[in-house]
Amino acid sequence: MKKIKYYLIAIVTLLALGVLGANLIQATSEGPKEAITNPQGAQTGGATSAEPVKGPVDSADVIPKGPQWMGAPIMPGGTPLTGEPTRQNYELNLPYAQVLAWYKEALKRYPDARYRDWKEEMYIEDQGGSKWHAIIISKTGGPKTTVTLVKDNWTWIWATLVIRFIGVFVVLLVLWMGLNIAGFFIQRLIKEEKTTAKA
Amino acid sequence: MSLNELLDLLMGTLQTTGFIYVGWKVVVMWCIGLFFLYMAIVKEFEPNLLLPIGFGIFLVNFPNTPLFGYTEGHPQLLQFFYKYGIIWEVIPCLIFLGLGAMTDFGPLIANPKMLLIGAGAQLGVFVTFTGTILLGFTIKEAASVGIIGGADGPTTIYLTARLAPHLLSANTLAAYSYMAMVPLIQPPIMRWMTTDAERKIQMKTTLRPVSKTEKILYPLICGGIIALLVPAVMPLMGMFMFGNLMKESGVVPRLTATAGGPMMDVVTIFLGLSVGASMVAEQFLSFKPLMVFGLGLFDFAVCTAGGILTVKVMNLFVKDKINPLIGNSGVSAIPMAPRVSQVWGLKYNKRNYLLMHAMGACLGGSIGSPAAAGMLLAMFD
Repeated sequence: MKKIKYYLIAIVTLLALGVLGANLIQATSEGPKEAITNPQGAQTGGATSAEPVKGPVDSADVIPKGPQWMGAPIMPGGTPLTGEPTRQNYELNLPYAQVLAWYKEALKRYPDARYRDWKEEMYIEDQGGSKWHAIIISKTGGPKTTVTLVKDNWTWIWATLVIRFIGVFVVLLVLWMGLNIAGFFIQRLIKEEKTTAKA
Repeated sequence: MSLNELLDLLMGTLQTTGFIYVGWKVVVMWCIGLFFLYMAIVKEFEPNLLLPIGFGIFLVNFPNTPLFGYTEGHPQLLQFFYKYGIIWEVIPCLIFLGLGAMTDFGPLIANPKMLLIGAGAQLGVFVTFTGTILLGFTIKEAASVGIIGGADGPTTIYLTARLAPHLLSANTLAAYSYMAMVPLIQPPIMRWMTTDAERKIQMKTTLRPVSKTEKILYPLICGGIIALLVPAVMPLMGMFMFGNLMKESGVVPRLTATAGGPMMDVVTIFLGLSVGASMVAEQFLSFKPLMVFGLGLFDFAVCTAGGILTVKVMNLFVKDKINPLIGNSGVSAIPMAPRVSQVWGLKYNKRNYLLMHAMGACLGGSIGSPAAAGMLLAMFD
């Protein structure tokens, strides 16, 4: 047993010396130092400008250079309508499709933009860590298009959470009702079968 | 040969070994891996998971090992398991298939109001979501961290792989660690949130018998309702219900035994190793993954409290009062949470057997947690 202890101590010491020596040699040598390759980085690395960046990122870091509001891109050539601390409106003398195409191009590298195509507007929602919450592009202006930029807000987060928590209750309540109804009928059927068998 | 040439030669040789890449982060990860192995082997804490996870962490953090990267574009061994098992979301669904084949929904069918406790216990998922955003996480990250509180490992993996894959290892580890620690985390909250009189509430010792027909119909009804209301989570719930239908139908005993036995074991090995292997030092030792452990604990506590609060609210309306000590079982940690309810119930009333009722609540949680995940997926995926 004692011998094994000594062997273990010797192996650990040799390993430690090996690491120390290797680091010393590396420090002395002028050869390029290779970093430990990050396996996931290998997947994410090398993203070209056309591909969305993987992982959490602020939109301000990946959109093209130009005017921005809270990290959201502003299409050049627009006329400001209103400017509040939480919301910015501007109008463009361009049809909806052209404005949408510009925004899609501007946000193509931002992975957390979700497009909700509603009847009267395109609602581009930020699901990442940017300071803006939505870019709303109106569809009803004909040759003119209004774009609204909305700042991130807690009202939206709270509202969606409350709705979803209630949603879980609703799902399980429906299931409860389903089980009660099925249970009621099955128990009745079993009773009837027993009565028939007795008769 | 000059000294420089000799050093270059030595350097070239050394670069093929792992020695020169050993840094403090790697050593920390070895210690974490060894800690999990210790917990699994010596303390027997969730050994089926912590042992492969611990070994995966230990193994993959040796520099230059061709285990979790890519060789000429092809995934290396553990990367292969990880990519096709977890990123492709195959393993969580197979685990649900196995769980379905092992689960008896009888206690829930006999007393379906227990489903509501499972819903109430999802409170932590949504509360933690808010807290996580306050700490600077993105919405998708917050959703993936929030689901930890449901104490449902496969659901956590499924949601995280979809919304925040970079947090997968931290979230999975937190979920399984806290599941193993249910007997330590839940009792103080149960004691704090209940009065002496409430703890002594006597519940029926037996539940109504459930017929085979009801048990066969349950996966069809439950599967159908969930598919209509939360379709996003059907890969998980579909497999869960299919496994259960195999079991309850009784016509495919070999398939049931395989799904709940050998298949489950194989999948668990791949799951544990891949999750452990995904804990690469550079990624794991940073702010967000470490914060996940703190947030997960808070989440778990709020979910437990949510279940207990739901029982209290239900007691305002129901004739046969429910013992709030089964509220903790709303999180889907089977069988640990119901066991805690049973032990604590007996402590305060020697004739009070809460196990079957707690199992009902726990099964409600096993539906509630994927339902909550489905809600989050529908919103953010």
